[in-house]
Amino acid sequence: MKSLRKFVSGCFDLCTGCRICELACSAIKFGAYAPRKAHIAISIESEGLRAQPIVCIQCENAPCVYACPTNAIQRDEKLGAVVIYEEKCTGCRMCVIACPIEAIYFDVTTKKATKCDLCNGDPVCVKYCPTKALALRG
Amino acid sequence: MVHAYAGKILRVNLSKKREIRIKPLDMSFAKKFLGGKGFGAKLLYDLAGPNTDPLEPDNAVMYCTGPLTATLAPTNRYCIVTKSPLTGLFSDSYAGGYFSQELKYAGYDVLIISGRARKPVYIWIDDENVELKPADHIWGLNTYQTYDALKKELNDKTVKVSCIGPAGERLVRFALVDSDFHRQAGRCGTGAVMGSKNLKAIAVRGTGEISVADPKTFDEAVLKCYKEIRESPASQEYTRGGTQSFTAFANDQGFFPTRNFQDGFFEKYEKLGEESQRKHLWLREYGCFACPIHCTKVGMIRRGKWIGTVCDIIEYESVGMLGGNCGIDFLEGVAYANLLCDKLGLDTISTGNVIGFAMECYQRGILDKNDTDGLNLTFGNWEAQIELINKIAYRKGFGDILADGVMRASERIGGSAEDIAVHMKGMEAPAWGPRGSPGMGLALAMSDRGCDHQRGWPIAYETGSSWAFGGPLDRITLEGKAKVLKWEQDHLTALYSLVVCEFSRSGISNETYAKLVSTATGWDIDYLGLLQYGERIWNLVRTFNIREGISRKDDASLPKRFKEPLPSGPAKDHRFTDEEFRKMLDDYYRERGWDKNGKPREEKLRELKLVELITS
Repeated sequence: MKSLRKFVSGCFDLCTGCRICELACSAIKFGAYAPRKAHIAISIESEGLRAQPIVCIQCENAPCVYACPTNAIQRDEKLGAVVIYEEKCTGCRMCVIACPIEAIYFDVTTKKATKCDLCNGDPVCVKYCPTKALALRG
Repeated sequence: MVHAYAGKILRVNLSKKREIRIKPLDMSFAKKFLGGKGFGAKLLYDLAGPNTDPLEPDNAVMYCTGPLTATLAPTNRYCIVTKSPLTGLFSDSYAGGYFSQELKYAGYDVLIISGRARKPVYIWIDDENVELKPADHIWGLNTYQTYDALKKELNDKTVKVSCIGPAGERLVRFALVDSDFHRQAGRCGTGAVMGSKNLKAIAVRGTGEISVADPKTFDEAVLKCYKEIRESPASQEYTRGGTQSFTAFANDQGFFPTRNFQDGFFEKYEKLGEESQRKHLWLREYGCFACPIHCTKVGMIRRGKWIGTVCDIIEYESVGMLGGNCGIDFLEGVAYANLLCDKLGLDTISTGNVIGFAMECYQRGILDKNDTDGLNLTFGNWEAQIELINKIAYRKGFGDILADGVMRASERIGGSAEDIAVHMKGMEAPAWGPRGSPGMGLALAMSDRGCDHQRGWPIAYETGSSWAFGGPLDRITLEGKAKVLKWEQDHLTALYSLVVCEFSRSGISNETYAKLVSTATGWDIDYLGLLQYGERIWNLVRTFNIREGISRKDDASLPKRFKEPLPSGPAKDHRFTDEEFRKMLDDYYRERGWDKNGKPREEKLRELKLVELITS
C-alpha cells in the first residue's frame, strides 16, 4: 500500500519571484525574517523569465531517508510529510548531499539538518503566496 | 535587542588608507530621521557641503535602508543618496528588487562610501566580512555582464549586486546605478559619482535576520496591506499592466511628452502602450521582493532584428521619454533603447530628454549633420537614437556634449538652444509635461532633486482623485494647490524614509503604513507622526540645498517651453505665466513656513527639532 503523501507544489508559471513565501516561512520557523534560512527558496533564471520555487516534495522514494545513517528522517504518516527527528540527527549532512533538488538545509545554529515539515498540515507559504503559485497537494 | 533595524552602519573609504569601519546605529539618530531618505539627508548634510565637488573623492554615496526593509511588509527599495553631478544639489534615487534587503540581512542599515580608489574596485560584503576587491577585469563590462561575472567569481548565483555600466565609468552626468536585472536607481547621476570613485559594484550576501517588535500585530498589518492592495482598483491596474495605464491617461489628458515637450499628445501612442506591449513583448508577471503587486512584466522581443532578446516592461517614463519625446512609435526600437540604457547605465528619462532636445535642435536648424557626426536626428529616427545612446554612454563625438545633461549641452551649443532645453536646476524634465496641471508645474519646480515627478504628483488631485485631507481640486485654478503639494511631499518623504515603493501607496492606506511602522519599531506613531517625519526631512533637505545656493530665482526658473501655450488636448492653450507662478510660489512658501526667498524660517526649524541647522 502506498503511504499517505502530501507536499507543497510550486510551479514557475504563476511565481513572480517575490519571495513572500521565504519571508513567511522564516518568520514561522525562526521568529524573524531571514529568507536564506527558509525551507523554501525561489530560484530566478533568465533575467526573471523563470522564477522557480524549490521546496521539498516529500518524495515517495526519498533519498534523504535512505541516506540518513541514524534513521532520523522518516515519513510522518499522519502529516504525509518526510520529517527529521532532531534528537536522532547527528548533523552529518548526508541528507543535504543526497537531496537532488537542494530542499534540505543545514542549520548552523543547531548544527542539525532541517526541512519543510508542512507546518503541521497548514503550510504558511501556501497561505501567503499572493498568486497561488504554491499549493498543498497529495 | 534592536527591532526593525539591522543596528549597524558600514563605512568604506576607498582612498589610500582603505578604511572599513562598522559602527553601531545610534538609535536616537534612527528615531529622529527614521531611515532611507531621512538617514541619507542627515548624513549628507554632515558630510558634504558647498565646497564638495560631486565628482571628487570627498563626496559620499550612501545606500540607505529603512525600518520596514527586509520585513514581510511590501517594501523593497533602497535609497541612494549623494550630491548630484547633474544639479550640484541633494539627490536621492531609488531602486526595487532584492538588493536593499540583502544589505540589511548582512547587518547594515546604511552603507557609506567615500574617497576614491586608485584602481577600479568592487566592495564584497559577506555578512561581517567586508573587503575591497580588484575590478580591473570587470571595468568596461555592461551591467548585465557585471552581474554574471561577479556571481561566477564569487561562486554564488544568489549574491545580490548593484553596479554601474560604461556610462558611470565615463562620468556621464545622468549615469545610473543598476541592480539585479531590470531595477535602476535612475535619476541624478549617482552612477557617475560611483564611477568617479573607481567603484564598479557592490556585491552582498546577507545571512542574518531582521525582527519586529510585535510580530503578531505586525503580521496583521501585513495581511491588511494585502487586502487593501487586492481591493484597490489602482493597485489592480499596476498588477495588470504595470505603469502602462498611464500612457493612455497622459495622452487623453495632454501630459504626454511629445517631440521634446512641444505637444502633450502623441498621435501614435497606442503603438507603445499597454495593449501593444502585452501583444508584442510581455511573457511573465514579475515582482520585487515582498511585493504582492508584481507590476513588472518580463518579456521578449519577438519581431525584427533583436528577436529573442529578453526585456522588461517598458515603463511609462521610458515610453514617454525614449518614445514620444523623440517622436518614436516603433515598439521594438523603444524596448531595445530602454534595455540598452539599462545595460550601459543611463537614466532613460534624462537620455530621452536630451535626445529629444537634440532632435528639436536638428528640426530647427540649430544643429545639422556636421554637428551630429553625420546622424540624421529627425524626430522618429530610432536607429539614430540607438546610435546616439551608445555615443552618450561612451562619450564619443557629439554624444560627449549630450553626456553632460541638457542644461550644459544647451549652454555649449548656445543661441536659441537654451530656450528649448527642458530642465530645472539642471535636472531634465520627466514624462509629465505640466501644462494643464498648475499643481504639477509647482511640484516639478519644488522637487528637491530638480525637475522631477516623484516628489509630488498633483495631477491625480486635479483629475478627480481625493487627497488625505480633502476631495479633488479644480483643475486649472491655483487655489489649494500649494497646500496639497506640501502634504504630498511630506507624505512621500516619510514613505521614502521607510523605504517603501510609491506604487504600493495606490492600495495601502496611510493608517496601515503607520501601523506597520509602530508594530515593527515598537514606537508609538500614527499617520500624523509619519507626516511630521516627512516635514522634518523635507526641511532638512531644503536647508542643504539653500546652503548650496538655491533660492527663489531657481525655484521660479520654469523651462520656457512650459510658458508656451499647449497646442492640443483638454487643456489646450494652457501655459504658465510668470505672474501666476510667482503667486503659487508665494502660497507654497507660506504653507511651508519659509521666507520670501524660500528659506525655512527659524521658528519652523525649531518646531521640527532641527535647531542645529539654524544659521544667522
